[in-house]
Amino acid sequence: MARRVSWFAWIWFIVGCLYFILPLWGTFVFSLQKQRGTLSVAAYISAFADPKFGETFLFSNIMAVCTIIASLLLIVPTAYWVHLRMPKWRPLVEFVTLMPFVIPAIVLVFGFIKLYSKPITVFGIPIFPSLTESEFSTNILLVAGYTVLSLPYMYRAVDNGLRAMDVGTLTEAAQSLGAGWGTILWRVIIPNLRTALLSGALLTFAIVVGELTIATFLARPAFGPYLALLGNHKAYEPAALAIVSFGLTWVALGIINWITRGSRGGVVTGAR
Amino acid sequence: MAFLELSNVRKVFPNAQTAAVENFNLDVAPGDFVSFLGPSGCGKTTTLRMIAGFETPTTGRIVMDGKDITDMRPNQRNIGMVFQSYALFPNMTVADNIGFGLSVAGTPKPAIKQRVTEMLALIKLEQLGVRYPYQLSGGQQQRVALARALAIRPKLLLLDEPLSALDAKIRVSLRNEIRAIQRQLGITTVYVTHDQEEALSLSDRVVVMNQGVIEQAGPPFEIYNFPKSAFVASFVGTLNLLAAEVADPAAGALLVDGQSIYAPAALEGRQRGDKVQIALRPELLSPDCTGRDDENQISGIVDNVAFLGAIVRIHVRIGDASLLVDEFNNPHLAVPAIGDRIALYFQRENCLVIN
Amino acid sequence: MATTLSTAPRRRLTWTWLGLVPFFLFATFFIFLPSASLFIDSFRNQQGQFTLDNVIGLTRSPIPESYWLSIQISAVTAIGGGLLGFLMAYALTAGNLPRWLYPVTLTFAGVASNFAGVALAFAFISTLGRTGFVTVVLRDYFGLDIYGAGFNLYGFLGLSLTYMFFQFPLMLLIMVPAIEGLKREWREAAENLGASAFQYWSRVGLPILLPSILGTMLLLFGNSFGAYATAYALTGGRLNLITIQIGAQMRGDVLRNPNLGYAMALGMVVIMAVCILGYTLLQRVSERWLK
Repeated sequence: MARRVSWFAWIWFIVGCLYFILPLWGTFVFSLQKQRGTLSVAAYISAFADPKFGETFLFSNIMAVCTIIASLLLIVPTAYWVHLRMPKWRPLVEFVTLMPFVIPAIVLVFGFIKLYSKPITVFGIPIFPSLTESEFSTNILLVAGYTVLSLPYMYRAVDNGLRAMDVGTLTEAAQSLGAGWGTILWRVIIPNLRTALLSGALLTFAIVVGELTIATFLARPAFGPYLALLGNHKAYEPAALAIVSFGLTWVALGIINWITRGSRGGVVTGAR
Repeated sequence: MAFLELSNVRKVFPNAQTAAVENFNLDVAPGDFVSFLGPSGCGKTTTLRMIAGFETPTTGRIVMDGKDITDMRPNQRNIGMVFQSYALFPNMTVADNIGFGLSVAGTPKPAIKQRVTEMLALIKLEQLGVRYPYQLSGGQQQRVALARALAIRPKLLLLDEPLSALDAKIRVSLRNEIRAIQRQLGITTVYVTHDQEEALSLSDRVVVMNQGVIEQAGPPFEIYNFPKSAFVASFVGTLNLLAAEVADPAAGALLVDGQSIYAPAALEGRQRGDKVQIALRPELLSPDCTGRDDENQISGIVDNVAFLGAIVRIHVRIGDASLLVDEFNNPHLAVPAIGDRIALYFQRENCLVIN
Repeated sequence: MATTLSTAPRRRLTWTWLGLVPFFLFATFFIFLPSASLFIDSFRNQQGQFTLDNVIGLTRSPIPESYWLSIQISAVTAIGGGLLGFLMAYALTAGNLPRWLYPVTLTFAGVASNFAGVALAFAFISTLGRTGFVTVVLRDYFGLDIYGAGFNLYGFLGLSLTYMFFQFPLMLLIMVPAIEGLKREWREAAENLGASAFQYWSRVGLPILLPSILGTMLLLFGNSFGAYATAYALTGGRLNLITIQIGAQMRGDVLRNPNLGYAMALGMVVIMAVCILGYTLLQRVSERWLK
């Protein structure tokens, strides 16, 4: 049976490709047009020269790292435990990881502000100060919010990783050789989860650095709000930074695809 | 006049070093049940798929009922096919699956309904028409697949290892059902399998294949009792192979482990000292002597006695080789002990000299 | 491991329980309590008494218009993005395109579906804004003045086009494995029974894929419905989407009644929950069939 390529298939493929490429190409060309009449990287230079760029970018990166750590500390033991000891709780855990889809960022931060901008009281007695009072505690709230956003992806990455290795047998083998829980997690499970953890971490990074919603409403000096503000009075620099942002996402996902090549992973995405 | 003829069919896949199927010539009489038997990769499925139209022969012709179908598209050949994985359409009920071929051909609904009912009765699943495939067991799904293929009244029925995904017990009962239905309808059938018991018990003719070529084709009795090559002899049924040395070609005398035995005829083209192999079926060896003069005797040490239910299998070591001897189980049978010296007897004519 | 009777198992159970406590504690404090707080207070008035006024207040302008606009954009981008994504997935898998296009396209799709928010808004402004790349090209080379013809990037159509940029790659990524999940034998069995390619797709292929397609479109709908950053960065709050409204409510008490804002959030979450529920149910059906 001859397999000929249909023109129908090619048309839609090309349309799709155009839809991908045109905006990116357009943005790139636009970002080179800061100097009238010629193509130059002036927009990029100007963007990077702004001290606020460095500050907010650094802040977001630090927040990303904190989120990744918090997320890993939370998810890895939990996923391991569910997999190994309490499989009946899996549906409930998975339900929780679906919540960030049901409760989008805007509603989440709304809830945060409502609940945590006043001291937490039990029957009128304050037991916890308001989380939005100090910068430090607000940052904690920010990281918590980001952790919630990254929950589904991190959990799915770790879960896939655990499924790929025979967790039960490895644990039993380690136990029979005298290892305690800490040793098992640290020296047996996590090394075998490296790929999954890296994927989850890179995805979290991609989500956090450009995030706008939570950062804006918690009034933190993150990269997202800075970008939005920039768009209000500059034209070419935002385009340049959009390309940089795209490049970063591309690198992060490229690394993920490269390290997970061959394995069947889930779809990783989301809108903001 | 053969119903299905394959002439010099050859198939080479792109980027392949060797041909998947080579020099395939076969005539199938109308109403015959033919099996393609062989190990994985021998080309049996490829040949079947060429008959069905999913692969095209590189050279050669396939003629069915007088028409050359070599280049015909699969959806125009009117051949029914049953796949190993059943391939039932999961979005349709059993009834819709069975009626699919007719509906695609534009048959009016009442006619389809009637034919579906007939088919459900044929496979004895009358009540399951409204069920979905995922609600059926493996055996039931395969029967539906068979009914679906037969519903279009095909001229030829092809089955590609239809039972290999099923449990052993179901396999046996289902294969007998398939054969019974085939006999009832009188439809020419080609059946691919790697299970020699299946092939032997079901077929009118067996085509044994190896590495793309036909080793031997013939009725099961002939294939089993008169294998033409070492491959056929060892693939079909259990076979003992012993190394032997020619002692006297004219008299047909051979030496096995220093012991003298006789082949049924003179060893043509052989010389004293040649190394050959002799093949013996386990059931043709016996510890009991009949006393006839064309009987061979050979001795060895009992290595193991395995009780297989209806058969007792005695493993006997002769020199470096181990021989299997099958005896019918009998409560009053004197079973030898491990380590005993045992004498085995077989008729001269049952000794096969190979290569 | 064999367990003995009475007390031993019970002690064991409590201990293993502990392993999940941090997770559920986190979830409680940072997902459930904030949300519950919103939802409960949407049924209270400013004095703290129970009332349904806020929920009823959702029917008073301009709130229903917000919901409706959000629903419209979400529906348009879900269907548009879904169709384009599906057709592209079909082209890639069943359309016999060269195999090397696979990994390239899927990587690109992965990136594109994550490229949302502020940067995406800027990308589209640079492309389809008044002085954007494509706008200028269309005007200077093809003589098409899209702004003259009434197109506005900061309106419904513009936002939809922007959203589709991450919607259709998501559809592509989910559909490619789904289409590949169609067993080759189904196609062969259908052909063997006399079906043409069209008959195969219309009676077997597409019906089997339908739960997956619909479920993913629901996912796309939810994706679009809850999006804030892209819309805000693009339209600066001018477009009256429900997420923008909630944001405005947070910035300054535009409704004079914070509880009404909570009710809006509740309404949003109800819609999202319905989407996810629909998606989960359809996933289950498709998994059963594609096994």
